[in-house]
Amino acid sequence: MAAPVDRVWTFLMDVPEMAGCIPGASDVRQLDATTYEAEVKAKIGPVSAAFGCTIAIVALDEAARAGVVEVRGKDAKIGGGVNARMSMELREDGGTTTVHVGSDIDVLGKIGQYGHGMIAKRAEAMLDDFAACVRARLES
Amino acid sequence: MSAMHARDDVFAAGEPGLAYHAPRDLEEALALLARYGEEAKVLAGGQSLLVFLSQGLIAPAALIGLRRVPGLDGIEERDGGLTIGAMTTQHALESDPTLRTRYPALAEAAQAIATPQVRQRGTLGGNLCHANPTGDPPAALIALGASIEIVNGDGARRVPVQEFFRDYMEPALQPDELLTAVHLPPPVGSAYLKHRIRGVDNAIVGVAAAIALAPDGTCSEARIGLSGAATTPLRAVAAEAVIRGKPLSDDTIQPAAEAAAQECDPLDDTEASADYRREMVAVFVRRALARAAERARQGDTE
Ligand SMILES: Cc1cc2nc3c(=O)[nH]c(=O)nc-3n(C[C@H](O)[C@H](O)[C@H](O)COP(=O)(O)OP(=O)(O)OC[C@H]3O[C@@H](n4cnc5c(N)ncnc54)[C@H](O)[C@@H]3O)c2cc1C
Repeated sequence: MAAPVDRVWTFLMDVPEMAGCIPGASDVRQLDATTYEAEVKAKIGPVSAAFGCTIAIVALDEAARAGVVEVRGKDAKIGGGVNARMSMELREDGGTTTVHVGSDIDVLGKIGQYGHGMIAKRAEAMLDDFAACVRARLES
Repeated sequence: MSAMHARDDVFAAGEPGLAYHAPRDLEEALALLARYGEEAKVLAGGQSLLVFLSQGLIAPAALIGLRRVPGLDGIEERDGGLTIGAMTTQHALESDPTLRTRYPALAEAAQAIATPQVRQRGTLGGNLCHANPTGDPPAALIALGASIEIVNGDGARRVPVQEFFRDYMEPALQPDELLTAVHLPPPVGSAYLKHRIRGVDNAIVGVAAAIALAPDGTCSEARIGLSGAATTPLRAVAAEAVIRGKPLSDDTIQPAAEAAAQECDPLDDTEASADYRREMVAVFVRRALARAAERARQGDTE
């Protein structure tokens, strides 16, 4: 994205700000220095889920502009959840920043049985929406 | 009898605070839908709805059963085509002589659904509103050029069937609307082929093709519907364009099959990988086109 690496890093590390770009996320609260809570709503076909999520920054390398975030989300009503582990690494190249994202997503319980392929597809689409939102906020 | 069954199933699912309504006519059904909005679910054959309900995937406040609403059931010839009521069972479709001879793609798609028990209760309208991308009837109806009749408090409208599938399991219906009928234009040569591993499974891919031939034997009209090929049932427009106006032979059918594999975007899941589905789309488009063409030729000599 067309923004300096420091700006992108600061935004991504400000979890409440950053969560504004996660589709369906609300009620972000900080629990301690590296852990947050949020609610994420998602709807696939007739099924609506509301995940209570904990978001933990499990590794952080300020100097390398790299970090690993773990998200554990549970839907109490349907039964099941989503665990995600995402690694990020930022690289600067002449005033623009490339964000490399690796993600590992597990869908658990009943929700997973409902349509694994579709859930993975939707998760990818959410990641794309997230990236587009971050770009829109920072490329000004 | 079946209304009682559906009702018993609901209570067996043990849903406290779930109201059940059995309106006596369309007006009453629409009024109930308008009253409940998103809180209500229409109950047709219950074969998909009751599964979602008993698994706790959905939690409506009310079910509105359609069994007692007159005028939603049956197959009727109209304007050279056919009108099929939303509550017509899948069993009625597979056993209807007119469908079997003139619209075989739909009879074959209905017959390809699950088990006789499911087809006895499951309806055409319920199958379409469930909008499963691996369902069988949607692909057949796309190939047959069907339109869907939707009714709400303001009146009725018709939409081409492929526009009815908005997203994964999301039909283009508002909470206060009902699907009342499916209209089929005059018949052409058609076929539906389903690829699956076990007999009762949903399609890995399903392909329906419909072909009309000009007097000189070239393909004057072609439509192809795909199941298991995207997040919604899909019309393979690029593949259709390859054969439209051309003579039908391996030289045209093979490129059409490849075009279909190109234009689809299947899901990767535990049943099959996206790549495998794509390959099977090509194989089954080729076979379905050949069979539909054969039937179109037989139709000409009748
Ligand atoms: C074991 C099993 C295997 C199956 N395998 C297949 C298969 O291989 N291929 C296949 O195509 N299908 C398959 N099905 C699904 C089957 O075809 C269902 O019958 C169908 O999806 C739903 O039809 P229904 O009449 O039972 O609708 P319901 O389950 O009663 O309703 C389904 C949905 O449509 C809505 N709805 C129903 N009717 C209307 C209407 N007229 N207007 C507005 N909304 C409406 C309901 O509110 C609900 O959301 C299978 C089902 C089972 C249980």
